[in-house]
Amino acid sequence: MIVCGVDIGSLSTKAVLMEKGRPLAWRIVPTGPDSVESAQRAVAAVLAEAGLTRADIGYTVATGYGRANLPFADKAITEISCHAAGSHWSFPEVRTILDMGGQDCKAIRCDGNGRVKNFLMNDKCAAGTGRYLERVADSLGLALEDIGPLSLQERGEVLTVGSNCVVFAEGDIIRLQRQGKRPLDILAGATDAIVERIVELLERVGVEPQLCISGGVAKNLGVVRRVEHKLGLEAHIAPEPQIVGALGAALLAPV
Amino acid sequence: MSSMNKPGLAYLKNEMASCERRIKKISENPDPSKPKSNVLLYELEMDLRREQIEAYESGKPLGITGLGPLTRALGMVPWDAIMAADRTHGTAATEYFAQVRKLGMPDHTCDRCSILVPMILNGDFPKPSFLFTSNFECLPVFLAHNLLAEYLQIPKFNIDRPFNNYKGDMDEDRLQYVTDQIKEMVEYVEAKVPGCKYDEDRMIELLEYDRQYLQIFQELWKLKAAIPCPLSGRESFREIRLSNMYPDPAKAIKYMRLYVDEVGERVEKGLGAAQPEEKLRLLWSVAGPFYDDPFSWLEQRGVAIPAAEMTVYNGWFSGREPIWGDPWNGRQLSPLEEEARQFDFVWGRLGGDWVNTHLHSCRDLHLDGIIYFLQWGCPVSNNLGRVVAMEAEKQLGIPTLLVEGRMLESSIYDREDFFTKLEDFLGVCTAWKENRS
Amino acid sequence: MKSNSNMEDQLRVLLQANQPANRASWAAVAKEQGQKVLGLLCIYVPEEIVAAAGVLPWRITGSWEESTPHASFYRPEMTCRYCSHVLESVLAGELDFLDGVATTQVDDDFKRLWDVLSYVGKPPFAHIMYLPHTVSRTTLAMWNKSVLDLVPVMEDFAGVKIGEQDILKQIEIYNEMRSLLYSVYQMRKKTNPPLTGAEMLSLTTAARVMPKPEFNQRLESLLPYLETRQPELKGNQSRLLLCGEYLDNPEYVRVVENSGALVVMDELDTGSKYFMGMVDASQGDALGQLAERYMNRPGLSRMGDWRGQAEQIISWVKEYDVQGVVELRQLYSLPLDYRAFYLGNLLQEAGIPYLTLNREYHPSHMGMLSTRVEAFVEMIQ
Repeated sequence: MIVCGVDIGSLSTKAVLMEKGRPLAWRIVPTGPDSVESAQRAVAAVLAEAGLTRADIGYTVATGYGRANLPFADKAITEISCHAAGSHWSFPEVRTILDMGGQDCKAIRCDGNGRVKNFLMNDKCAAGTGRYLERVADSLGLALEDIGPLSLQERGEVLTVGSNCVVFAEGDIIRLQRQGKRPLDILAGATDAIVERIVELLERVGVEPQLCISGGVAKNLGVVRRVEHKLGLEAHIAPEPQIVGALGAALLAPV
Repeated sequence: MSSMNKPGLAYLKNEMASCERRIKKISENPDPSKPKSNVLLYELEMDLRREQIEAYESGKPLGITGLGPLTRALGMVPWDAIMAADRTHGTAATEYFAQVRKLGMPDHTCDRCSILVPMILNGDFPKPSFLFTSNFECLPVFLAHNLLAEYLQIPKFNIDRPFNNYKGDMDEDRLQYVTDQIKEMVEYVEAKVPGCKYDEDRMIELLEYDRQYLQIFQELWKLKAAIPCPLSGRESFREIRLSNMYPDPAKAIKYMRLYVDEVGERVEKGLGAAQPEEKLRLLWSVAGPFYDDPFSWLEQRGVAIPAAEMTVYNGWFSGREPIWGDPWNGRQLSPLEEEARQFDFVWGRLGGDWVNTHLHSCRDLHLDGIIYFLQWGCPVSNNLGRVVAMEAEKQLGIPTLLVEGRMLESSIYDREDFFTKLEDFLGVCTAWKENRS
Repeated sequence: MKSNSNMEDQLRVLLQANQPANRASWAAVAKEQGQKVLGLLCIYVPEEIVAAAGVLPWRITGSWEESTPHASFYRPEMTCRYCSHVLESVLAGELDFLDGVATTQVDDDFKRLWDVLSYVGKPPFAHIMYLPHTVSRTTLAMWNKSVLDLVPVMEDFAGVKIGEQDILKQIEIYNEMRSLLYSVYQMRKKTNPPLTGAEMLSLTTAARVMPKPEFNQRLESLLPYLETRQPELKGNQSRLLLCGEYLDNPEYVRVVENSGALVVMDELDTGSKYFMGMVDASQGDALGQLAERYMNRPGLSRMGDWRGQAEQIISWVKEYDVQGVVELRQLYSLPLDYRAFYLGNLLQEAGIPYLTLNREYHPSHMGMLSTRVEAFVEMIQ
């Protein structure tokens, strides 16, 4: 049976097709104002990619914030369980998962079967999420995809940027810019700050090797290296870290 | 975090070193604008820290039982953990807050109570041998002490102060009630904390010291009323310990005598802290951004802060609340009754007294306004700021600035914004003052 | 035998009683009949004494709207949200029918709410009783005095004399309410309980806005029907115990239950903690027994005995066959915030899964809550 996993996130919607535990195809489309329409688009795209039709799909699992409202889904499962399943499929030895998307950040502990043992999500504000990094990049006039490597360049001065709240962090950045500090040093400080929050969350959930990082932020090398350094662990990164949730959703479909 | 041999001493050793540095600085290069008696104050602080370190190293009990002399009379060395937490601000506090969050505790409660927990769990602070909780301090202290006691299995006793329903007074029944609980606490401590035995003679001796100490303080209250005010804002905000806290209370009294005489000299010479001349006098209520120095900033703009209103002490200083040894209901109280009476302070009472203590301070000290700091996580003070402001305006015609912020943790502090508010407020105070005259 | 649909209609009256549109209607009837209405905030004021004075005790549910413009004049954002929403309702004039309010100083927020209510003089009468925070022989004796003092206060308030018979009669009525609610709670132990957690909360909050005789009569006539009522189970629903102090909005329970769970027990001031514990006045000393009951009953969250509370939760977990504990801590209400760390450790030792989350008082961030609860339910299933 061909199964489909759909992950409807706040920024992008991901669809994965699987057959007998093997992925056939995957697609990422931007999430529009209508989450159902976005999911339909993602599924249509992945079907086109695989050369299949809707009738070929035997079971669909939805995840992500729009999971509950998807009429063609057979089941809805949270991102947390899906990320655990997806990460475990990619790296069976993984016990701790960090998933950082645009809107939230999750720390998940799982067992040897990819089942969730404990989890924590950051609350309410954007500190510790991808949006924080976007705002940092914006404030410094840098491209989002560049800030990871740039934050790892040699530092001039160690600067502290607030990590509790995006609004205050922006205030700090503006203040440091006004003081004529080097943008790269400010960037390094801001990256330190967000990593502090991430590591806090991970330590609260309890870190057990091995570690896997997924979600959009896994692409930011500056964050990844810092987390690794702080925890003294090397992190696995899924080849396509954004589709781990959709992959897990497909894996959790009954076979 | 602690690099010392036995965990729990890092903070105390730092404090000792800092007192030593200060004493050395004064002896080598005295600042004529600072009181000469400061040497004695730093010595007192050093004596206390030394005593606490020695007690902790030798396994002598360190206890927290409240403000009065009962701790020492029970054979414990007082351990002022909450007050010590107050001195941990700025980046150090931020680090502790990271730990608070790691423990899964909320980070929006009272700063001093939040960071107290990791400080003790980390071993940066000595673990107390005994903790008391009560409903007359405040909810966050009650809860933080409760958490430490329950989690670390420290013997704890709760004392409840009643109010005579909405009439608010202490009467014979209620005094007896608190005294009974104190007696139960004494039995409990003697049974649960090795090395503790209540010594009534010691209690009486210490009560007398506190009485003398507070009497000198009452002289200071009158001196603070002088125009210009002789005290700097920092001096007003200095954390008050009663003489019983120090290993040598007689030395504490000697210090207080010397200090008050010095302030008296300043008054005689017409010296004020506000520069170049005193234009406004303000009350600073409850807490403040301890990681910054708004007091010097105010002084440089001609603003004196004759009093900090923590609502605990000003009643004694102004003579409105009975001090140790004052008769009550026409009789002398026994030492444990005395302790019971002193557990009854404004912090634990209903709101009328809270408002009035502010107004009394403003009247006594001829103040032109109130800076009321709404400290995050402090329900007792936060939820009455507006009523204080309304009554200060109605009864005294003076304005109040209600300003929100954190006390120790500075990462969200917006200095520019804070001082803009202060500056605007000074304008308001000046205008109202002109209107009044 | 009445039809099921008729019974459902009867049940709906109770389940809708504390909804904003209905909750004041019984108070309005009481007022028309010349009865006074006293607003209550906490669960410690002995209602029997209030009712014995011929006054309707009426628990104040705060405004369920997000915005609290009137209250924020007095109370900064980061203080107990229940108290702020209560103050909002009072200042906005929604509770002008109240003749008075009575509370204990459960914590500093309640004490200061009382201060502000007395300061603004709304409602026109405000009483505060002293409540000890630990239970011992000494503190119980003082609590007894607090309870005794309430009698003349209520006599003055209502302009009546309260006799011992009046108190005994109310004790009987209140005990009846307690045992009726207790029987419904017993039914929660079934695999398929007759009421969902959201419905149960609606029922216990209904008890606090209706005259007790009417509530009792309505609930009693529904008991046989409830024995047979079987809502449709949605697959394998995990059985949860819910903690959360003054949670009074069933929307929050619904969010938890929409995540594939059933709330079968609670540690709520608005639920089990309100009614559990009977008054035994058979040996005389009615007021003393009353005082004893209001102090000594299961799971008093505002007191310092966290171990006792944890043990109570653990024993309920066994009794009600609970698979996990979900705690919805009201934002900026400190007691559960501090307890959570300790409780988490104890429940972990006992092998009981525990999820603790912050919530607002008004319905808010429901999507965020549901993701977390759903993941928790997926984890324990």
